[in-house]
Amino acid sequence: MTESRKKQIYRRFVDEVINKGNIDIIPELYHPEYLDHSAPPGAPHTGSVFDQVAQIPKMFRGAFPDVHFVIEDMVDDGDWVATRVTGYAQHLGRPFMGIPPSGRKIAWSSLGFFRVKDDKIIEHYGQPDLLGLREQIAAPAEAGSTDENRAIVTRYVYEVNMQNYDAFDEFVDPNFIDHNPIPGQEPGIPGLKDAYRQFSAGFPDVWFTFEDLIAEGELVIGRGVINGTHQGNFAGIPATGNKVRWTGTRIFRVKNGKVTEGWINFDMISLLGQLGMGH
Amino acid sequence: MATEQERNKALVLQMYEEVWNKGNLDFINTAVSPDFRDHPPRRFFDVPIRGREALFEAATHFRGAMPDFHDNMIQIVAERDRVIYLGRITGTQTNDFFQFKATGKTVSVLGINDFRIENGKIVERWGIFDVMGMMMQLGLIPAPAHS
Repeated sequence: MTESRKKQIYRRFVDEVINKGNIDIIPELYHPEYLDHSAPPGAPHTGSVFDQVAQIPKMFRGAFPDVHFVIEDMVDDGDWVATRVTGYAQHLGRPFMGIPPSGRKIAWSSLGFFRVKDDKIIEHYGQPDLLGLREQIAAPAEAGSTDENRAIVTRYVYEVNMQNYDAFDEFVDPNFIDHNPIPGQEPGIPGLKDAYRQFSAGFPDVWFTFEDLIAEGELVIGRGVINGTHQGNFAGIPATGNKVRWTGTRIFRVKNGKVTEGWINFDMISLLGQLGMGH
Repeated sequence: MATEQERNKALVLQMYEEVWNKGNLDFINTAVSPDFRDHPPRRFFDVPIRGREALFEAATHFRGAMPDFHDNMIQIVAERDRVIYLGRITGTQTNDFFQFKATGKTVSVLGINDFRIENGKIVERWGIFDVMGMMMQLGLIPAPAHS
């Protein structure tokens, strides 16, 4: 049996907008007179209706880069479709509800009502289990556990993204060993800070997003993407203004609540190609 | 003749009116299966999630703490064996509510419940109400700081 039009619209919202972050299709799915009765606290009320809708996937995907909603139930009746979903995510990005990125893997439920007019969503009520979500990312991790190690590495990468290198003293071991130093890098925390400063001079908006993060024993291993704009000197290449995106894999060792060693491999050939080298 | 979905909607509406709004808890025996299974949100209190006691205890605590408790329907939909109900819960907490002393404060929060109905009885519920909003309105947790 073919799914009803209203269900198809909602499914497309989940599959494309939430799960893939494809906010460009929002005008295809939402009515220009859309009214949200359940806008999250602090959501902006400026910009177009479509900009306001886009804040939801941006907020979720910013905090939970791998967020994935699974539709558990849809009920189509009259002008409305009511939905129940389970969200699955790892808290690898930005803070959420005031909780710093925790590295936690979580699942939560959400129920919603959507009114559809002219094949577009025009009205919405929603009720996520925010208390359940918050408790899972705020739950304290046992000292020395893989949960704690994952949280420390997630925090490390977040502070690097924020270019808040002074925070290193809290969670990086003074004898930190960088297995992939830049030429001439000093040992320990001072050398690490300097390497990141040189990197962010080349890409002032650089942002590393973990797409997966696995912890076992003392090791934490992550795969992610790096986005940035080449606005300064990088490895001898003067600024091109190019927006670039490349992938990387990182490994960290965490002991007694401090990052003691780090390895990074990233797709340098792709990056150099995007900066116009090798052509 | 009413369709199965119309009868199911009427059952859910009557359950809200009798149990939650009037406090006629005996109606749980009429509307809810003894094999009822509840899938509640995370909440700050503990009541059973199996059997009629789940609803009996929840309604007893809510209505005991808020004698003017009322669930105001906004929308109700049905398809197959499901009824999904959207309502706004209102009440004044004039008595103790679980571990929390009476505050005299008023709450108004949204709730959505997905019911599965079998042979004219509610057999399963997946529900979420705005637990955090309720706790903030009662002053039990601080409102979040906005940036």
